[in-house]
Amino acid sequence: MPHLTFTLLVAVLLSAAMALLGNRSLRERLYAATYLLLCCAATTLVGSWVMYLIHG
Amino acid sequence: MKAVQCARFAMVSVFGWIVPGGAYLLMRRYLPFAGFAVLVPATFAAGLALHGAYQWPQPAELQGLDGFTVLSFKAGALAKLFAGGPFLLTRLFDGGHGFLDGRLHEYGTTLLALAGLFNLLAVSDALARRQAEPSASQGRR
Repeated sequence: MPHLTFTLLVAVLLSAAMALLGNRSLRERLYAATYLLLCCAATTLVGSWVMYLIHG
Repeated sequence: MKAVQCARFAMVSVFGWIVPGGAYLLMRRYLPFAGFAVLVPATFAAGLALHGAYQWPQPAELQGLDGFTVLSFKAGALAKLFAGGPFLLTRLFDGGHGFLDGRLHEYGTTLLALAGLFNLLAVSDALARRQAEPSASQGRR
């Protein structure tokens, strides 16, 4: 499995699990899941660029 | 009174461990229950499909490793155990891969550990919500 696919899979699972926690309405859970997924994607993007700049 | 509360706490914890999201079911929180009942077994199944290993590391397999590495390997194995029902069923029906196979197939092993941590998160969140709602801890199922 490619790294990107695995990262995306973990990001989806993680955001779904985190959105299920706490006392929230369904709409708030959807927002939280989307927000977390975007955060994971942004972190991966920044991290991969940093690694690219360090290692070349 | 305190003994009854402790017994309820233990019952919710054990049921939540065995049935992923089961602690929410006892509190009649059906959405988080359904979410974790799907999420934890799906993550565990994906880990198994990617040849992840869930066996406890044997002393011979840890020979020559430093203390921190041994501790982190054992913590990883413990995290998989938290998956509860899926973990027990897999141990029952599948011989499983050894610990060293799990080091080889890291994606699968990561997903197995993730499933365990999701279940632990679900149990701890349900217990925290149960404590926060007095009516839930006093008689509400």
